[in-house]
Amino acid sequence: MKEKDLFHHHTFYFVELIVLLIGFFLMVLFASDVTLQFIILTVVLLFYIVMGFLHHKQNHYFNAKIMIEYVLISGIILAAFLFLNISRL
Amino acid sequence: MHHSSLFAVCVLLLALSFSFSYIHKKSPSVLGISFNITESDLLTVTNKIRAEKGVKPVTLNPKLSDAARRKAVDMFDKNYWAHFAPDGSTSPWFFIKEAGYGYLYAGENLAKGFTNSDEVVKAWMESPSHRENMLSDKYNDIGFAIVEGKLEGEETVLVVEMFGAASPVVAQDTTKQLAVETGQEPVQEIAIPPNAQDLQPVASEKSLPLNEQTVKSEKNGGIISKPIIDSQLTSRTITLSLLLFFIVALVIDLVVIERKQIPRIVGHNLDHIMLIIFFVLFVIVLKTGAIL
Repeated sequence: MKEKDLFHHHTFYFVELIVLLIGFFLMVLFASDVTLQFIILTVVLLFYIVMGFLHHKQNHYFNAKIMIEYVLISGIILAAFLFLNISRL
Repeated sequence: MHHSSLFAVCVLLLALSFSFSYIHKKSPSVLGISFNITESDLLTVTNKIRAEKGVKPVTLNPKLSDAARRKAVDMFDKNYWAHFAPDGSTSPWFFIKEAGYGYLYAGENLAKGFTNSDEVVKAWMESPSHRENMLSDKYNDIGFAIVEGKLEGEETVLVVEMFGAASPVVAQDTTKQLAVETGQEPVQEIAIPPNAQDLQPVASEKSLPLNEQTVKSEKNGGIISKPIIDSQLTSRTITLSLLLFFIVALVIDLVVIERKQIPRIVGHNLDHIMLIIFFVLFVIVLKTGAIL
C-alpha cells in the first residue's frame, strides 16, 4: 500500500472513530429522550454503512456481501437499542 | 461470521423486544421494571444528607405533598417536563397556594426515569442548583409526589419534591401574577430573596384529580414494584452478553485471519469492533433518569 493510500486508509478509521464518539456522546447527553436517542443512533448507523461502503470501495475489495454485513451489524445494534428501551417506548 | 448468524441474532433481539413488551403489558408482576421510590425513603435520605451538612431536618408536610401531586398530574395531563408549563398556564406559586400551604420560601426539584430513591437523591445532589434546594436551611417542610405515567411519549416515573417554609400569613406571589389571574388583590406582600425564581415551585390553576388514563399508579406514598423478572436488568444482561460475545468472536477472527493471511470477502472486523465497543460503553454508562 502506497503512503498516500495508507493515509486515506487511516483517515477512514479516524473519521469513523470521531463520528462514533460524537454520536454516542450525544446519546448519553440526551439520555432522557429516547426518541432523540433513536434518531441519533439511526444517523450514526447510516453513516457507518456509508463509511463502510466508501472504505471498502477505496481501500479494499468491495462486494455486495460486505454491504449486507455492515447493514446486519447495524441492524443488530438498532435491535439491541430497541430491546434495551422497549419499556420506555 | 455468516450473514445468516447475524440475521438470526438481529431477529432474536427483535423477538425478545416484542415478547418483553407483550409480557410486560399482560403480566407486569412477572416481567416488569423493578421500582422502589417512596416518600419515606426520600425523606430519610434527604434528612440524612442535611444532617451530615449540619442543616436542620425537614418535616413531611401533607399540604406540600398534595401540591407536589397536583404538579405531577398537571405535567402528565399537559404533557410537559418543566417547572413552568410551556403554554404559560401555570406559574410557580399556584400549586402550593392551592394546596393551602402559606409559604415564605418555596422550592421544587423534579426527577423522572429513576428506579430507586437513592438514585433520585444522588442525582439532585450532583446538580448545584438542586443541591442548593436540598441543603437550604430556609426550608422546614417538604412534600413528595411519586407518580407513574406517560410523559412526552415515554413511560416514566415522575418524582416531584417541594420544599417550603411556612408563612404566618397567606403567601403571595411577588409578581402578583396570581392575583391578576384570579382577580384577587394580594393581602400582603412578602419579601422573597433575589433568587426566588429558582426557589419557587411550579404551579397549576386547577384542582386536578388523578387522571387514570395517563397516571398508572401511586401507592402508599411511593411506587414499589418487584416483578419476578426485572425487565431492565434482564434486557441489559442479555444485550451486553451478546455484544461482548460478538467482540470476542470478531477479535479472534481478526487475529487468526491476519496471522494465517487467509483471503476472504468480508467486511472489516475493526470497523465492527469499534462500533460494538462504543455501543457497549454507551449501555454501561447510560442513565435513563433526568432531573430538572
